[in-house]
Amino acid sequence: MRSGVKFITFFVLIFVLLVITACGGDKDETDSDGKVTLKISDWSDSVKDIREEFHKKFMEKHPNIEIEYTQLTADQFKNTILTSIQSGEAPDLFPVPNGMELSTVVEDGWYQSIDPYIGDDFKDLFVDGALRKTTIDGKLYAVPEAKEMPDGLVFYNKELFEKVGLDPENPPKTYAEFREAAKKITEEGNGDFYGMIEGGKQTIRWQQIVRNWASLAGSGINKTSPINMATGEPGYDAEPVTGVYNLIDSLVDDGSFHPKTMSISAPEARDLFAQGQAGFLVQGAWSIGVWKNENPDLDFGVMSPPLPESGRKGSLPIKNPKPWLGIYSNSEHPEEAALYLEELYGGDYFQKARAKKGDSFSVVKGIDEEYIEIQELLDFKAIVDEYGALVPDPIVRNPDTSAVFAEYNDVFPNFGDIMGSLVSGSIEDAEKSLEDYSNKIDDALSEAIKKAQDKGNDVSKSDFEFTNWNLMEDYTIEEYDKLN
Amino acid sequence: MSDTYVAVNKSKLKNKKNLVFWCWLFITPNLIFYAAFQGWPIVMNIYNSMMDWSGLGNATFIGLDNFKELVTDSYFWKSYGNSFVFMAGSVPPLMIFSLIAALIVNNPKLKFATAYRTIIFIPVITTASIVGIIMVYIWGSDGAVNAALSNLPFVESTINWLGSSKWAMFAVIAVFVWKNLGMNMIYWLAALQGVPRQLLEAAEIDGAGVLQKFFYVTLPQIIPIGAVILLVNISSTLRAFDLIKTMTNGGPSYSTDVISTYIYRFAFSSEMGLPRLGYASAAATLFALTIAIIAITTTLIRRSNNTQRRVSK
Repeated sequence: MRSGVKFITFFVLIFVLLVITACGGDKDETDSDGKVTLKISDWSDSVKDIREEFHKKFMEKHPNIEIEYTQLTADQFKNTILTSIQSGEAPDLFPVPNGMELSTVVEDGWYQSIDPYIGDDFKDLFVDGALRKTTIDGKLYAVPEAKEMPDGLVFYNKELFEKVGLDPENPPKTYAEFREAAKKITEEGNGDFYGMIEGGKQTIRWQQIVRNWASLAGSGINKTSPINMATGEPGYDAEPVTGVYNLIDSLVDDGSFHPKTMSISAPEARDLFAQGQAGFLVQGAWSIGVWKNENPDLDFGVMSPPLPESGRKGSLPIKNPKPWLGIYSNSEHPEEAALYLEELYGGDYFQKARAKKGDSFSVVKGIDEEYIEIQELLDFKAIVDEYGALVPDPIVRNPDTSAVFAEYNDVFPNFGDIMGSLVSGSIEDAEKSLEDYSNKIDDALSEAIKKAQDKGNDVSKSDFEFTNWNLMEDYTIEEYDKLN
Repeated sequence: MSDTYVAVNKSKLKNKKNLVFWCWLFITPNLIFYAAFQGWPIVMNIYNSMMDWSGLGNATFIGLDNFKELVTDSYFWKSYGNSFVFMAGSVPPLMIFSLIAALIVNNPKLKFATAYRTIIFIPVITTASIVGIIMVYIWGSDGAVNAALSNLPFVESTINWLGSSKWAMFAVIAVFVWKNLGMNMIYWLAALQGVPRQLLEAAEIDGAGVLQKFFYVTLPQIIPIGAVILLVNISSTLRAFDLIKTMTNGGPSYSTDVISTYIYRFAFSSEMGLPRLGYASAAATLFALTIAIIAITTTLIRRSNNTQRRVSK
């Protein structure tokens, strides 16, 4: 039996050795000929082509650097990056995942400061305020991808408008007009096309409609806070929000939603819209570039979200640009990573190509003004200039509030789920659900504030209340000063 | 004489020791892999379920708070119930249809039996997530299923399968059954191979028809293996994830949200805060615990019934 024990011990040792050997790898990404492999990962699918072209040009210019670029969906990225960080093998450059705050992940040791590897001229490339949310304690930790533009504007198919007798140069302005137009398109479509389509499988699509449309109606709700920052109340059961739900409910009653709405994602909805299967679609500016490239014959327009009959009482929310790419704290090639960023923003190719492509609005000075060529993108910008306003941000006011967001537990079903339920016919009336959601949001925020306080952060609920916020105007840095 | 007796006993003892040694030797690799890849994650899951932890940074011990929150979340219980609805909807058709398929392809008189077996088995080796994505189009409002239905004279209007909270679960179950039919058929085929041919021939000589042979000879012979197939199916349906994730993502309106998608939602995705790995671990633990209780209770009842039957005999 003793020999058996010895045998088992030997076997265990072999196994442990195998595991150790498998786990230990050569982490140095430098080839024997001195070539550096720079690993980059993100989810910017709409500019994949020009990004790859940029990489080609970059590698030609810097032959000692090989770029290994991995593009995932936002969800895939979020799942994989957590594991990569835990195993210490994240890419050299990667973005802050959606829903996470830069300060939180910096504190968790994800990123290193970019400052030691770049000069001040790099920061001068950016428009005013672009680096406000990417800088912590005076150090730059990430760069923004693009300007934050509202993503709840409405695209409409001009060809369908003409076909059913609507004026494509005079799109609907109010809830009633919007409902009427969607109904007319649906009726005339007779099953071939419908009033409206959405990527309803993705809850975020409904959230974007609620946030943007209700904000224009005066809800004070946007993505920088879970509650209405003008009042300090959750506000999801208030009239500006319920009005949007009532409008969507009336579209459901009229049968104006494309029947595929609840079973498709946003890119599929964008594609069906381009095929002329729906009159209206709510998406962000990035769709313009996609259509121009993939559906050059699509005749579409962009309009402001409809207003309640009582008129405009707020603005489309514009946020400070959010942090995007940062250099991984364990990266062995931070200089090369910083060089990549310098070329991406200050080089001759990418920002200009992106503006021409019409994907988004650049954070680099002068690019939009000089290089945007697509009329619909200029129309989009004009609408945002007219209806948009910079919203207050609790993190800009008090950086400690990022600890609250780190402790904040999302409430399910969220207001996007509730709208999805309304569209799928699972609920008849959203008001009770919204009232419950409002109460739970209030509790979740209070709980998160308490936890953040317990961890020594100087925060309170008043950090989420901006009593001097005029919903119709930009919330400037001076307004923050006045409040404090 | 007694010396011989002692020698034989010693030899038996040595043989027994040798046997024990070889048993341990062959079990050891499995034990090591089980400990590393099953046992340790289970222990860590239970540990994490008592933590307030996002999966990043430091975890805080919060005792049973995650469980307290969990039991008051109606959406946890909805997904819990949906898991059993999915199981109850999937397992019976899987068992029955796969048995019918196995009986048909097991018929020695059937031509091209191998080809049919292969066709039925192909979905098994197709990745579930790919099947899910393709099925979104097939079961879409203008997909192949509705196109086929609209050609039927008695169908007045088609169904929005995946967009309706009433029908989405049915669509997912139907695809799951189709996809896993082949594997179940193989299990049944293995069981059918074990039915002694003499018994069937004897029954035939006694004048038994096809149905009588099946119900009185074949079925009693394959039932023990059927019990194993049943357990495998129950286990796989309660763990279903990839197909549901890709076909409906738990929607619309949480109508196909099962425990796996519920856990995924909290473990990996968040809208404004960070993911909640601790809470997701608690959900997994609670679900596993209730399954274990059900399994133990069933076993105890079965044993008690068997004992009573033996006593009455």
